[in-house]
Amino acid sequence: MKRKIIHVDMDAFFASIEQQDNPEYRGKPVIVGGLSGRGVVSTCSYEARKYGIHSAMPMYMAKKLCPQGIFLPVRRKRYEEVSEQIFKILYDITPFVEPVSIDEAYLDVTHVDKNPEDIALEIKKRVKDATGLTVSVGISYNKFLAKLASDWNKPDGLMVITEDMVPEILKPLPVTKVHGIGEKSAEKLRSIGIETVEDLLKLPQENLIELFGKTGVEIYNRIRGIDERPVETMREIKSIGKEKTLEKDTKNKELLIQHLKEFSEIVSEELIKERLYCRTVTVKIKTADFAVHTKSKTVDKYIRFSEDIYEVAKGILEEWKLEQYVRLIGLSVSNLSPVKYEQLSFLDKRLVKVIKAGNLAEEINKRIGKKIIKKGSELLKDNK
Amino acid sequence: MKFVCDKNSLLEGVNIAIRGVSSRTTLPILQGIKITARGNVIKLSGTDLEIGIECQIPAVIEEEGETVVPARIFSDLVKKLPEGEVEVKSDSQNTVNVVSGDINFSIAGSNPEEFPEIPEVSREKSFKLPQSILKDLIKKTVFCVSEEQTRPILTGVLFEVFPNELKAVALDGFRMAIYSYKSEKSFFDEEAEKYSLVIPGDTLDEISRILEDEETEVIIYHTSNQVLFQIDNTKVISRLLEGSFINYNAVLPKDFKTEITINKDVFMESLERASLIAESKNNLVKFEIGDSFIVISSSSEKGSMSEKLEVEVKGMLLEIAFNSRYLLDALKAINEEEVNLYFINSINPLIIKPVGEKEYLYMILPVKLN
Repeated sequence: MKRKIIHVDMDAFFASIEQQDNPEYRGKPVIVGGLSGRGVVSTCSYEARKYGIHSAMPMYMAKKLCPQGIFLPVRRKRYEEVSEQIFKILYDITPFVEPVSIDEAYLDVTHVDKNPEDIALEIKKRVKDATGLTVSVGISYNKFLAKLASDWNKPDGLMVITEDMVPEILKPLPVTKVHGIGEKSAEKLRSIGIETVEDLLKLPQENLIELFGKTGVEIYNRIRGIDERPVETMREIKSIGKEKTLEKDTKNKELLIQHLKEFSEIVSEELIKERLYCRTVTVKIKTADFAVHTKSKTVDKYIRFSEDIYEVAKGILEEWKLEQYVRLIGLSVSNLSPVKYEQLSFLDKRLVKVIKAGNLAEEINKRIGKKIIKKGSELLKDNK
Repeated sequence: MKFVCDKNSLLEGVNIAIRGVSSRTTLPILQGIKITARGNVIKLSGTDLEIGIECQIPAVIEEEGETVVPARIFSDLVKKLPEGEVEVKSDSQNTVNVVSGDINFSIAGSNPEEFPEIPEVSREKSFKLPQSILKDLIKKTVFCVSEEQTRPILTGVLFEVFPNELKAVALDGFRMAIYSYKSEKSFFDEEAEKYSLVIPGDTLDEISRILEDEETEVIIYHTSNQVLFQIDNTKVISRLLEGSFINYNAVLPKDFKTEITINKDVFMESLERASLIAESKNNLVKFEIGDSFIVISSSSEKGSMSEKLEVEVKGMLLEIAFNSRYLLDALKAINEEEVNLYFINSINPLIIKPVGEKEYLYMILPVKLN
């Protein structure tokens, strides 16, 4: 299945926050960065860019180019505060968010049951409402193209790059737009007459490997629209779920169970993709009066297959006394644990001890007919 | 040196001696085979200093002497000669001529004095067994030796020889093979109670390629640090691994909770299917054992698979996971049609035994799942 990747990039983040916080700066060239003698520009407003100022430029040069500019120090704490607000919005959409920096992130929305363009518009609107800032959003089927798309018509941009647009849309781009080609590499390419992606497409893979080593293969693939890098969520995923507002309110359990079956498959797929197992299954119901009810069940073993999740979810719903019509049904799993296998070895003394202790405990529990000996981890869970 | 012999026997000898020749060596002389012509035989020797192989073939010696030929090219050129007699001679410069009819090869050899002496092994202690048994024993155990050099002793197979029983054990911690062969006739010619030696896995790999499926006996001479296999006209000399082996009996479980009888091929095929989907790193496959079936399943980013096999199950139900490679390696070594699987619980070893007369077994440790 083709992925749906969104790249979110704040427009002139630091400078925009300053303009937001200080209305008198709006519409004026604002330059944020190190103000001391050797400081450099962190971000500058679009008004300042007209003077030829750009980030990483020495501050003294920026001052020379635009003496009337508003030069401000970096207020990192404030920017982090705003960033947090924005990431909250992103995590609201999907747990699969890869923060790249304070003002940039990738989202994998493959499993979000919405059109990615609608998601993008939602992000833009919610960020604007919450912070007053604009954001550029790129949508495509991999990270490289999504990033390219977000950069397409900054600021406040929205661009979709679909499969049929590749490689045509890339051809006129300078090679520096390709992730992995920096100034130095571009220099190398220029020396052999390669300026654009179109030129680059003519190079066989071997030449790219010669020039760039291993990354040569990646570059070769990237300009052909191939980039398998996953969106890597840094934040620990706490739960995975899926919910749906029903077309018509219902009290029909059979119908609701059918939805749970479908959700189990989606959730299971996510678990497998994220290499996670779960132990807790939660069913959520919103009734016609908009009241939200949830019921959970925790199982002994870690599970991940849709059948197992479905079994538990079905059990929860079957016991549920539905007094009102159901408006929304949801399923989520939590108590997640990464897939950890341990190949046991009888030469590993630590493991041998664990096995012996486990066998002894099992034997005693069986004789007594009650689980009186438990693992420390089990006790901790019991006490929670 | 000058001799005449049959092309096929020469080729056979060269192909055996070349097994001792190291492919990667810093000593160029070790890339050669030493030919010694004396009496009415020629001796072909190859060594990599870890293992030495000598093979004798009959020849008409016209001039006694010795030389060293480059192993690879010599073997290739002998192979390409027509059937019949071959004449080989060398001069004092170690230029070697190989003549067959009108074909005349001339290749550069090396000074035989530079060739390391393959040590003699004292013939005091020995035991003997049929070639076919040794071949079978190696096939069924050697794959379980450890690949890690951290405990060198485990890179070898333990031979425990009693007058009427031979036991071979190989283990790497994740699995273990135990092979037992009983004979009414004593393995010993001399008075002895028991010999224990640990033979490097690499040596056994080479020996197994030389062994034929025949009843003729292999005589194994050994000292405290060396072993000599006398197989017909071939001698294989190797160092023995020193140190004490693991007390394998202590790790072998005795009581089992679940027992399954299953057709080996059916089991193997299912495991192979499950392995296609299993994560390539640890080949994880899961077993769910019911009252008359076993469900074999695997899942990874590639997808998931499961298969239910009707089998005879005695005892408790169980879920357990394994690295399928360890299971497949063991099953591949088994000739019998059916196997018994003995389980305790999900964290204890599995024992695989063939159904039948043969006395060998595999113990495989499971993968613990969180």
